[in-house]
Amino acid sequence: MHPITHAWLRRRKEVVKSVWVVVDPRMTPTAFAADLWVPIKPGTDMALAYGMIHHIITQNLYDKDFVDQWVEGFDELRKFVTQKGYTPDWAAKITGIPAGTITKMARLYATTKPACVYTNAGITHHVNCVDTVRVLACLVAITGNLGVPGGGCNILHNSPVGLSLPGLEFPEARDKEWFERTAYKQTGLPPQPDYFRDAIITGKPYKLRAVIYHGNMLTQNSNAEQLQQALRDVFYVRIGLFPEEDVKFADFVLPSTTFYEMDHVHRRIDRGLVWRNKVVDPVGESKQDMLIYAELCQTMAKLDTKLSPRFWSENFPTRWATDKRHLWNEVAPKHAGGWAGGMSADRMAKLLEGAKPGDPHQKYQPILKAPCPPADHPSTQALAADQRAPDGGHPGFSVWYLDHPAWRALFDGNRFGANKKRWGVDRVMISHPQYDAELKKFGHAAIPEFYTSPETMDGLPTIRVTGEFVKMFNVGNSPGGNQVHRYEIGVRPDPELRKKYPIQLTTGRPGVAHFHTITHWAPSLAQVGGDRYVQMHPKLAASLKVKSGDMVKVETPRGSITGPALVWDGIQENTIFVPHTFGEDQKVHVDVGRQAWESVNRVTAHYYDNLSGQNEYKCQLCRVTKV
Amino acid sequence: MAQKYAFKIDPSKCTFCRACVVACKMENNVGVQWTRNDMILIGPDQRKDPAMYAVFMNCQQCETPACVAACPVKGKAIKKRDDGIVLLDPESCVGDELCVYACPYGALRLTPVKNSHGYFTVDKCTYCAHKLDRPADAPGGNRPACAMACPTNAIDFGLRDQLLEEVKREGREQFDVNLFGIGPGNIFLKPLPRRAAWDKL
Repeated sequence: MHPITHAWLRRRKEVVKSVWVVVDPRMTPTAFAADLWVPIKPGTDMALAYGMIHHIITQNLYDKDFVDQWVEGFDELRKFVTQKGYTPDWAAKITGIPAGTITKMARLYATTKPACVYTNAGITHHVNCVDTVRVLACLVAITGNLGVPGGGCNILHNSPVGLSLPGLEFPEARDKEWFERTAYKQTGLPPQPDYFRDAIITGKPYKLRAVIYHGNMLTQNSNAEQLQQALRDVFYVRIGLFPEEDVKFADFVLPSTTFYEMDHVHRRIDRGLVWRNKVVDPVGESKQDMLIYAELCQTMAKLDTKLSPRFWSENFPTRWATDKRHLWNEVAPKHAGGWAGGMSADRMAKLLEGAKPGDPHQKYQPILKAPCPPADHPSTQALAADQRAPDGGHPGFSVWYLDHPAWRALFDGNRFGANKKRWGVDRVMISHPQYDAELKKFGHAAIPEFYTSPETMDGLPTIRVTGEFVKMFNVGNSPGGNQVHRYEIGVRPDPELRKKYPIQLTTGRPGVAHFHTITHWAPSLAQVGGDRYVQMHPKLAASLKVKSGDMVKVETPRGSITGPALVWDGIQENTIFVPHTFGEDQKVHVDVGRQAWESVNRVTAHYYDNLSGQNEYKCQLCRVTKV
Repeated sequence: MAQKYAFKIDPSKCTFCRACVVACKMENNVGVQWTRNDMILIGPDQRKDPAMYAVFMNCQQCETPACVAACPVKGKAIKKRDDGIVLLDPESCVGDELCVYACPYGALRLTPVKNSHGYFTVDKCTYCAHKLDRPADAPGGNRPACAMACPTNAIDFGLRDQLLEEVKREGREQFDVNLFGIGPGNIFLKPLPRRAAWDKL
C-alpha cells in the first residue's frame, strides 16, 4: 500500500481496533500489520469481488435502504451474478482462496459499518483494471459504504495530477479555421502511456513522428526491447533529471528540476490541493517543466506559419510558469466547475505561511479539499450522500468508476458540463442501458464478465485485440477526441504458452524508499531501498533446487533477466516477484556496494486495457532456471 | 551514571518505511556506505505465519559499554556522559575496529572517512545529543531525528523512567535483550498477536 496512507491507516487501526484483511499475491509490510493475509493468484481480484458480491446478495447482507435510494441498476447486478454462477465456490477455484475465507470476508465486510476498500497498483496494473475497479465499486455501493467517513472505495493509484488547463482559445479567425479544417477532423492516439510505440512501429492509426517524454520510459514501460526499436525510428525529446537508460536514444535532452526547485500546486487523490514553494534555486541549465513548455510556445509563436502568434502566447503565457499565482488566479476559477472557488491564491499563500517546515508529521499542511466554493468555506473532508452542491446538483462519491455524473462534474467541469445529469440519472450508476451500449462499443459492458491477462497459469478467459478502431470520448490530449482498439473479451488464451512458461511473474515496487527510477539516483535511498531480487516460495525453490542468494534466470517470450533469489513463504505458490524501477545505468547502486541490474520490464509483455491504457505488469508467464 | 534517555521500540507499529534511516543520514551527515540505525527483520515463524517484524537497531547506550572497555586509545576515544549517552570522538579515533567487534548489538561501523591524523574513523548513534538540550519549539525540534521522522510512533524517544512506566501501564511485554550483562538502554516491546481479531469472528 501507499506508505503515507499505510501510516494514516495504521494510526487509526490502533484507535478504532479495526480488522484488516490484505489480499495480495505477496506478503507486504501492509500484510505484516494485517489480521489476515490472503494470498491470491495474480490478476484474479475481479473473481474475488464477484464471489463476495454473490454471497452478499444471496444472503441478503446488502444495505437495502441505501440501494433503494442511491443505486441504479442493482437488479441487473443481482441477475448477472446469479446467471453467470459467480459463486464463492467458483471464485475459490479461480483465485486460489478457500471459499470459506471468501464468505467470511464478505460477511465481515457487509456487516461492518463503515468498512473501506483500499487498493493501489495491485489492482490497477492489470489489463482488467477498469473493470476490476468497477466491480469493487459495486461491492462498496451495495453495502452502503459510500459517502461516509471511514468508508469508500479508495483507489489510490493514478491520482489526477495538478490542474488541467482550460480548453483552447482561438484569438484570431485563422486559428479557428485551421483547427476546424485539420485538427478537429483528426482523431488522436489511444490515451495510453504505452500505445505510442505501436503507432511508431505499425503506423496505425497514423505514423507518429515525434515524442516529448518526461521520465525514463525504458525501465518504466513494458517490453523494453520493442520500445528501443520504436525509439530509433522517432524524433525524441527527453525531459528529465538524470542521464538514464533512454537518454542514448534521445535527439534532445532537456534537464528539468526537482520539486524542491520550483513553486508548484499539486492535487491529491482525496480532492485536496497543496501548494509548495521552492526551497532552492534550479541548478545549472535546468528549468521546471512548465517553463520548458511556456518557452516552447513562445518559440512557436515566432516560427509557426499556420497559427497566429497570439494563439501560442495566449493559450500558454510564460507568466503561468514563472509565478504560480498567475496560473492559479486565471485557471482555478474555471477549473472543476467552480468547486475550487474558495481556494484563492491569497488564501493558499496564507496557509503556506502557517506551515511549519520542521514539523515532521506536517500537521499544518497547506491543504484545502474540494468542494470549497465561497471564499471562507472550511473545505470538505468527506463527501456525504445527501450533500448538495451550491447549485443543487449532486456532489458525487469518490468512485467515478460507477460513472456518477457529479464526480465527473467535480473534477472535469469543463469537459463534461458541471452538474449535468448523465442520461437523466442522479444516482450511483452500476448499470444503465445507455451506459452499457457506450461500453459495448469498446467490447466492455456496464457489468463486466470475468476476464484477466492473456498469460495465466490456469488459462482463464482473456482479451483479444481486434484491428478495429473506435472513437472514444475526448480525454483531453487531442482536440478531435481519441480512438482506441475494440476488444473481444472472454476468449481463451494460447494453451501452448503456459506449457512452455509455467510460472506466474508479478512485478511491483521494491519498497517504499523507491518511486519510479529517480530515487535510484539518490545514494542513501539506493542504500536503504534494497536489491533487485527474485522472490519465490520455498516449494517452488525446492523444485528448482534454488537457495536464497543463488543466481536465477527469468525467461519470457520477450527476453530474460538474472538476479539473486529470495526464498520466503510470503508469496503465493508458483508465483515469482521481481521489483521494477531498477536499471542498468544506475551507477549509484555500484557506489553502495551492489550491482546495477537490468530492468524487469525487459521481459514484461505489452498488453493493455483499451479504456484506460493501463499496461499489464503484474500477471505474466515465465520460466525460471538456476544459473 | 544511569541512563536518562531511551528509545521505546514497538515492532507492531512499524511500516517498514525506513524514514528513520534516511532522517538520521540527513541530520548527522551519515555517508552512503554505512548507517547508524538500520533495522533488522525478525521472523518469520515458518510454522505459523510468514510475517516478519522490523526492529530498529541503533546504539543501546549501555550501562557498562563494551565499546568503551575495548577502546585502546589512551584517555579513550569513546566516553560516557553523565546522562548515560556514549559519544565517540572521531579526532581521537584510530580506526582499529576493536569497539566494532566488542559491541554485541552491532551498533558501531568503521567508515571510509579519515580524521586529521589519517586514521579511518568509527561512527555510532549519539541519540542526536546535539539536539537534546534545545528548547522544544526550536527549528528541527529537540528529539532524535529518527523518532521525529517515524510516522506511526513505532520509535518513541523520551526519559527512560517515564517510558518504562508507560510500558507497565499498557501491559506490554518486553524482550530481554540484556543477554551480555552490559545493560542496554533501549526498550524493545514484543509484537502484539496478529490474527486475534480475525480468529475471534
